Amino acid sequence: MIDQEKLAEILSRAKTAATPQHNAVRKLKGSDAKGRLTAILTEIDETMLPRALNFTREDGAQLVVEVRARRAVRFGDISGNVPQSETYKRLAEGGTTGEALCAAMSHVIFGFSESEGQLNVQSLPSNLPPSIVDKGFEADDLAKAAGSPAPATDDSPPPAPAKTAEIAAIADAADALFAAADGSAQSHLMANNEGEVTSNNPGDGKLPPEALAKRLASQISMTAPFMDGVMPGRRLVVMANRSNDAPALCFASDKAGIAAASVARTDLTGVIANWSKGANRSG
Amino acid sequence: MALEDVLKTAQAEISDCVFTGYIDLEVAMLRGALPANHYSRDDAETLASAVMNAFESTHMVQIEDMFRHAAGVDDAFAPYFEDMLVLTDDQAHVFLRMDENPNQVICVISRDLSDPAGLLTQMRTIITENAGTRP
Repeated sequence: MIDQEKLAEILSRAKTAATPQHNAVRKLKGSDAKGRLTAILTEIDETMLPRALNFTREDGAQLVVEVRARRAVRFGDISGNVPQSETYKRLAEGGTTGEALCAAMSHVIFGFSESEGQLNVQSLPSNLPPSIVDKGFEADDLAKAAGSPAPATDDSPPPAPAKTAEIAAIADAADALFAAADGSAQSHLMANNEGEVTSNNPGDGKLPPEALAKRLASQISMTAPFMDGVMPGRRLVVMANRSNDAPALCFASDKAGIAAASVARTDLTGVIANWSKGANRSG
Repeated sequence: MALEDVLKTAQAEISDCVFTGYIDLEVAMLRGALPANHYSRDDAETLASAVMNAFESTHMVQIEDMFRHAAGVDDAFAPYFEDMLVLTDDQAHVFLRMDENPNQVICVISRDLSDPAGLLTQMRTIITENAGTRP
């Protein structure tokens, strides 16, 4: 028989221990507008799990940025006199995405950081519903849109963007899947992370490669919180139907590119095994 | 069928199993999970969100339509992709929609990468044995 009082004490201790320390308010570095902007972008860049970053100024103005996977997804709340916030709201509510929204978001952050005084931040649990599919914008994109340098997160130089022509050579995981799928898949393709097809074997021609690559590129971005937060590095994703004659979708991705293949169910085991060998070899 | 039975069996039988749980896609929440030392509450919530996106995002629904069309499958309402296997350098993740309710997804994560395809088959067998559903 368990002592109820002791059990309650244990549960209370466990609950306390499991509660993340979200509520600490931290002062941000930055004595001028540029420094404050860099501090905000650095906070975004260092936030992997879904969080609502609550930035407050000395004048009481507040800016809540919903962040996940190092990307600012949306503003949770904007109070006080923050320039360009109406433009952002109009674009966001209108369903605008891409560069225009990135620029608007960047200008709100830039405007918020221009006011003199100490800036504080509080990291709170995110209110982002899982149904939100916006992938958001990296600190680097926001910095470029604001016309300022990207936030420095460490001493190492940022990696140069991969050129399309180099992708096949450096996309270890994607390359391994493409090679594994060759000969066994109904159709397979390689693409860069923007969804532009760089190599294509149409197979039976039933799957449109460009449309598939575009959607996969977006799909990979949307699953970034899961992929990068819980599982950094290369990955292979297999999505299957349980009917024996229905093809499965295999896609592999890494920082450099994507490979996707429509694979007959009977060939799945071989493709997975070959991809694993290729990934291990290249790693 | 009690989903907890599937989770318990999976945790007992899957080699180097570090997480078992099930996600309700209708509310995008982790509904049940067995004690897992390697996953924090934040990680589990992120997992639920990512699984929701992986199975039901607009883009994946469009990809499903392409595959459904290519395979000549008529049923536009049933999910085409029922199972998902995600492999990384150190873990294998298996997600399976339940037959009775496709919005319920069983999640199993293992660190044994010796036979990932076998893991998918093993999980289907466990579900079948516990529920009598088709493999």
